[in-house]
Amino acid sequence: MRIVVAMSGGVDSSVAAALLHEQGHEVIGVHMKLHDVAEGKEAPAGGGHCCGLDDALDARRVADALGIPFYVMNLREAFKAAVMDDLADAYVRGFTPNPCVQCNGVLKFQVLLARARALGAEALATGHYARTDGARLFMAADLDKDQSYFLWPIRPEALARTLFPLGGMTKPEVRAHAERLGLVTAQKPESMEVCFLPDDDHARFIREARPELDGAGDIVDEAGRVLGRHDGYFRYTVGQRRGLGVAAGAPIYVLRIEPDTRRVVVGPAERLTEQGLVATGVSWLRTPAPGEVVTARIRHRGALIPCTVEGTDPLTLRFHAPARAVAPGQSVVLYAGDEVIAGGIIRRAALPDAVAPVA
Amino acid sequence: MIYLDHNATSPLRPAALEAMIPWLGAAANPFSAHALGRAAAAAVDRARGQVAALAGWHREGVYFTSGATEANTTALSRGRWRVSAVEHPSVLVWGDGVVPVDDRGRVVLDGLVDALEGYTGLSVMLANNETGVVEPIAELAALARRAGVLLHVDASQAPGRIPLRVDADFVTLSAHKFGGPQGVGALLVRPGRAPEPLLRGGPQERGRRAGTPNVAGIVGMGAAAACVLDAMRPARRDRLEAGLVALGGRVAGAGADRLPNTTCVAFDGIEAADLVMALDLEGVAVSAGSACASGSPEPSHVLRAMGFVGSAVRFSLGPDTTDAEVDTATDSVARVLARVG
Repeated sequence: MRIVVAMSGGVDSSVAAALLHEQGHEVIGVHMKLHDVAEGKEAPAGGGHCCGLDDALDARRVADALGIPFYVMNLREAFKAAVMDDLADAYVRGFTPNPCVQCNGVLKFQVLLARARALGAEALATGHYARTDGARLFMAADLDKDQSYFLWPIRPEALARTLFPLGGMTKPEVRAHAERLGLVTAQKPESMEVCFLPDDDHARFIREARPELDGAGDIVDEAGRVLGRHDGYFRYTVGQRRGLGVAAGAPIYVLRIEPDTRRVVVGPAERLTEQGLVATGVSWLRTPAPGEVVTARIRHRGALIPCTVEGTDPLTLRFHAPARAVAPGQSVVLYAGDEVIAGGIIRRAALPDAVAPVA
Repeated sequence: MIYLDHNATSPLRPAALEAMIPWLGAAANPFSAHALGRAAAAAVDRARGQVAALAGWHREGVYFTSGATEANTTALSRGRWRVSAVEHPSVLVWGDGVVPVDDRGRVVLDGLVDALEGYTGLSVMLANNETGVVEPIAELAALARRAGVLLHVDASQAPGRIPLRVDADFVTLSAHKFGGPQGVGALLVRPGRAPEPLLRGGPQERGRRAGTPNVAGIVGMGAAAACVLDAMRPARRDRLEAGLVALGGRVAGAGADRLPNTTCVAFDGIEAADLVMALDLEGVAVSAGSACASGSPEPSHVLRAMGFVGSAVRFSLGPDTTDAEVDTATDSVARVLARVG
């Protein structure tokens, strides 16, 4: 089978390509060039950019070592339109967006998949830790590495042409394969940050994307008392505790972000708990069976929260027990066991009154 | 592999390779006084004559360089130059003002004399590397003379394809575009216009280009120059182009005078970059636009300057390309288009 493998230059996608090649598939390596690291802004020590020149070179070296064709695809315009512009808007609206989700949903499993078809490939493979049987999407076998949370926007028709060769493996197994195969990326450090935000400095990204935006304002408590100042509401995330610079007796957390007034509302931990959420931009991979037990995950590596689906689009969930820190802009992913059945973008916590007889 | 990317580089002609081989292993510094050095000097001088003959130039006006980029830089890095919008990047970087082209890629002559006021010179290529469009150099030469400015012509794509008789102050040539080796080119200079050297500290190239000459490369360039055809016939390119147009292709610069080996074609429904990759997997080598450092193609400034919408793939034929090869390439394009249709 002819398979396009999205090769970032990291160890995971390198091993994904190598394993498929070893299995006898006709593998084509593709590196997605999504953005430029602007001149004068050095990549942080040790790399970590998925799309920098060095990573493209690493991907190319792996492809050359495997003896497979390798191409760099310029997806900068599509990436800007599909990810970066939305990202800046979301921060301006006080949300905590997740660009990787958007990138997977649009860039990898729509744009790249279509371009893979033009190359005559029957399937697209990535180095994600997740599993698919061609129709359904599951968590990875290695729950520590599971990336299914970031993959919910993938459509069933895309899933039918998608492979996750690492889905059944642990990270040490992947590294061991990389060593066995002598891949130059075997010892490459893990990249945890968003690929185009060096050091995860999203405040800098917003300053550059929206230079006219003045986000400075007050830090207030729920009664509106001013406790301090902040220099940009978009720096904060619901549930954040550190970096508030406000002295209070008990630990305090960000409860809400109010972009209109530029206020960041803080309060004690118990005020962070929510009974449910409403999400939009919903994608269903399958409808739950009547009575099927479902759980929700509201942040990467977050707990699975037992819940009831009260509305399918917008997705309205009632938690069976209160959950902490529902951050608008983050993804909510709905699981049945280890299967992803839906996902969406959190718009607000709690339930609309009509369906929320909260005690 | 069917190679239809001769505008990127054309393989070394066997005659050039044969001429080079002895010099690759020789102790050959043309500036040595001994017999080996004299032999090398004679070989370089012979090559200078061969390149001069190719271009109808006087032998003393041929300065060897490391390639077209160095030749362009030597000619343009001093003074104030107006350059056409479709020039190679190594010319564009020196442009202090751009001359627009029309929708067929030809330099707009109207108002150009006035636009050259205060300039050192004008730089316009003989034939475009992407579209093959041939610029009206004779008219431009007359116009430059009227404006009292110098004319530089990057003729890298011309040898072996169209006659190379250029009335200009400086002409750039590149060996590997016509069957010579990579890493060698020449700047042809009109008498009395000797350029300021870029590289100093040696007497080589009459003090205009310091550094031990690339003897084997220069010999290869001369040998290639001696065996290129004066002109190629367009029949095979036309056969390919007709096939591609029948598949829905739109030709950039159609209707303009073009190199007989080049066609630059856009197809709706597929990015040129994807078609290039897909054709590579089919065993057909072509290209789209130019390549940046990481190998990812940028939108073509040439097509943009012409107002050509879409991205186009360049097919550039060589002297040995066969009908069977262009037919196979056409079939491959049809197969790829069928996937995305």
